[in-house]
Amino acid sequence: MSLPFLRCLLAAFARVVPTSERVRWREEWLGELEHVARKRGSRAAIRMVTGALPDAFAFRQARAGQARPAYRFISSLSWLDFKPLVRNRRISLIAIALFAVTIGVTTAIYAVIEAVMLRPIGMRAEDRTVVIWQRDDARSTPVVEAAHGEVDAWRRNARSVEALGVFSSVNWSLSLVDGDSHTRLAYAAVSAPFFEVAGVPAARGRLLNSLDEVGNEPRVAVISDELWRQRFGASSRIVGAVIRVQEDVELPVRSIEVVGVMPPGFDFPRGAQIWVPAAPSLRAFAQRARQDAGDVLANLRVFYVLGRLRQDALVAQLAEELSAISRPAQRGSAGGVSSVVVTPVDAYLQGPARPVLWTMLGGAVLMVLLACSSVAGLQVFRAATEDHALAVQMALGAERQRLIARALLEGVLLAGAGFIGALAMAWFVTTWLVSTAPLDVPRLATTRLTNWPVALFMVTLTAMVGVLAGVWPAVFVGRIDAGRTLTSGARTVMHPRERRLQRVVVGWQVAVAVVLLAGAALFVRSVQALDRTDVGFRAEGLLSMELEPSWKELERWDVFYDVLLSRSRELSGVTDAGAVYLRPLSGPIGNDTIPVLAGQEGLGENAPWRRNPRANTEAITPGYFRTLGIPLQAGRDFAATDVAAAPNVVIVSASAAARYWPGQDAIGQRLVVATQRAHGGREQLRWQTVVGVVGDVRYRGLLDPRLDIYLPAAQSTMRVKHLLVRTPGPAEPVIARVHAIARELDAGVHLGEVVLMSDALGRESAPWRFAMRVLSFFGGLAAVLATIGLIGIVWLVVAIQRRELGVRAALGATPNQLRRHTLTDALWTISAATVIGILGALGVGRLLAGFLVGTSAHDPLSLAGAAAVALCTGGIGSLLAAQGAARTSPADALRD
Amino acid sequence: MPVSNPTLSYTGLFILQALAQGYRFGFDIMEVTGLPSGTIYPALRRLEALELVTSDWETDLKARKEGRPRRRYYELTAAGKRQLAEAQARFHAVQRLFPKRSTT
Repeated sequence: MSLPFLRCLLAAFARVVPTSERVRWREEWLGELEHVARKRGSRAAIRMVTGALPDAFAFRQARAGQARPAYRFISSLSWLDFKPLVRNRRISLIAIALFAVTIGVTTAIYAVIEAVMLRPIGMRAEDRTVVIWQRDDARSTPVVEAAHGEVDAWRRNARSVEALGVFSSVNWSLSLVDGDSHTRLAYAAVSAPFFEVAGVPAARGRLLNSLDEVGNEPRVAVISDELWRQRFGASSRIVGAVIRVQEDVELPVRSIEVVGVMPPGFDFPRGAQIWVPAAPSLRAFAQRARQDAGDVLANLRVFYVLGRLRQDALVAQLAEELSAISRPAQRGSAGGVSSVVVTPVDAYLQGPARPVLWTMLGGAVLMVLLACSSVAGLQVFRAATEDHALAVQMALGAERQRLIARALLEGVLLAGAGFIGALAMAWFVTTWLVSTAPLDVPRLATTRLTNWPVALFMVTLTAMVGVLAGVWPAVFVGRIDAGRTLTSGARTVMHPRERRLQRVVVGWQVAVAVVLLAGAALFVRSVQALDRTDVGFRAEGLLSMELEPSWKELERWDVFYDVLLSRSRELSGVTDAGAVYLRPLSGPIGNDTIPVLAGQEGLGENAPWRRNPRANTEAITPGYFRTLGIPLQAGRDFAATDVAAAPNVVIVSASAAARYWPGQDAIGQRLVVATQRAHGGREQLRWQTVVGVVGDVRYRGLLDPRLDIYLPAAQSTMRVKHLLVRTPGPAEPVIARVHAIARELDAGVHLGEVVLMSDALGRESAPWRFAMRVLSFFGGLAAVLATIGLIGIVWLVVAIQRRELGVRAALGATPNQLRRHTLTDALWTISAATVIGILGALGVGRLLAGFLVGTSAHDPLSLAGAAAVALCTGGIGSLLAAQGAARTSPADALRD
Repeated sequence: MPVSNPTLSYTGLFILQALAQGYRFGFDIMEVTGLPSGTIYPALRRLEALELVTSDWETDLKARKEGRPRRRYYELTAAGKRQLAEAQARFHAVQRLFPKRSTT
């Protein structure tokens, strides 16, 4: 390499040097270069010039460093500063792994919370929007819907609300008719103010208005963005288009005009594809049922209410106000309510996911703090064993602040390294959370790691974690007394204060482990209780298939199911079959009726029957109880002879029998339930005689016991829609064959939901199982971390007192005595921390109380179990660590 | 390990001792201490900033005679000498580090 080239190189390097110094800098280097080249040749000149660049940068940094100490500190760092991190590879790797796991899991849970709860749901005044229903404590009905007309009274009298609109409490179903094809759509019946409350403008066309509420049948509808894209190919001529729909097989096909399309992302009530004006729908229903339209509007309770609070109004205030308005109106009448329930719309949408997600985030944050304290403890432990080296560095003039800053930086670096692992962990956990979807959570599928809030959360968390993990080591390093350390010759200088701090930190780890384990145990107990809950039927090997023939005549429907049932029973792999109106565990929807008992006749507002508890009413075919394994406790099952022409009969559940006829034999009692099938031109309801009592079955949900009344399908206007098949073998071939038979019987049959009842049952307890798994994982990890901390305490005691132990050994102490001596600290810490942990668990239990099933938040077994696990793992860990102490020989006293 | 007044790093100590022994130019110090130029020069800047060392330029005449650009040379200040003496008192071996430079 020629000299001119090296000169050019120097000229280029000079650009780095601040302008004021540049000329002199270049001159000096050029002088040296020429000198070296002459005296030692070009190789030496090249070696010489390689140092010019670091020198140029040093110049620049010296200038910048005058102003900023932090910059000077960072620029003064060299690889050597981080040698301890590399030398103690095991400690660093443990720290990085802890950070990766805890930061990753916390970020994943935060990402889910962000998607499900923190992102706006797209209503105008979301924080003031509420969902309203009523409750009836007297009849132990937690949810009583509102009638269309009831809301008018609320709107007139309530002060704390700006607007109120109704929407159907569950989505109803409607067939979109296109030639021969029928597509099921989920439809919501809403009043015009519903859209005003939501405050979302239509993406195309218009929303429903008060004029649309006039008339005896709905003529217009608004459709969802999804439906518009999927069914109508996002056609620009959708507004004004007329579609043909059919609400029920019994009803004629109707034409409805699409007047608007909602924007994408508007999903309220959840899953609704089409919004239809409520009042005309109710009037059409009244006409069909030959009831008075005014009566149906005033009394048919099928709606929830969407309301927007005034600026300064509170949720509790509105509940109070509406309860006061409802009570006088309801006194003594049929559907009495005891109070009005007002729920913020986000809480309504999130349902049970809310407490579970917050619990998980709480647990995850505790884990992060635990990881911080563990890493800090490890770093202090490392610093304590290297204090000699640190003292030498200080004696040689290393600035104390610099060592402290370095200790802090080490924490941040470890967290930074953990961050990379955490990215992978967060991705993995998010994918798992979303795909297993144990909860019916809105917007769970929209969870993304790659958005600003989540990225910001993760970076902030990592930075905080890094600093937190560095503080204690920094304090420790700052307190090192170089003089004492170097002169006393002691191996370790952990100040008594530091040892106390270490005990506090490890103690807190044990306490957190106890809290998390206790939380996990409470969920284990809940899951056990749920598993023990008697659903009333045998779920294993039971298959439910929703099948609806396209005929409207009840008799043809009967024949369809008659043939389907008998042919299904003949299939290989099928041991029994029966059919029902709505299968068990089918959710909150159902047909609740109030039966009229003998002696309670009368139609007056105050007729005694109006006070009877409601019963879930089902129509079933003979063989249904046998198929599901529902025990017949008294009387007989329905028979093929229980047809419309025969005397009307019912079967009631044991709870219903006990509630309606307390202390009496239910068999032979008489009652009237609506939904009777007319026979021989008689429109009047007839007495029905109880012929059997069966076990209670959970039709709505696992935690929603009801009273049940069963009618023979042949005597009811309720249509059986669910075929239940007992099939011990694989379900797939059975499903295919049953579907084939159904299609053979009716080409237009609607093949609906197919579900294994064991899956349906599993889904009911999924949120608890999920919380149980997550908390168990956290609790286990916490116990491991706490144990590592305890081992650290014992090791440190051994390290500090090596000389003392040696002397004791020399004076004849047995290994057992030495072990006991070193364990004292650790055992005291565990015991005290376990007590604190149990107190903490009692507090946390109270937060979870509303979510626990079949166990109390103070369940002694859970608390004792958690304490036992923490004590055992901690104790065993300490014992193993104390083996080192037991091996101390008198010679150790003389070393160091 | 960087060091501030009044204590010295090994590099700083080596440079002071080399200067005391009469090695005054960057390259000469490099050669006698065996440290690379990337260490020597930044260390010289630091010592200069700490006022333990001062620098000047050789005369034009000498450079022109040899037909090359002039060189910058470094000297110990009074503070630098004091500092070095303290270090020598503490670490006796320092004095035996480098041979005295024969010619300047």
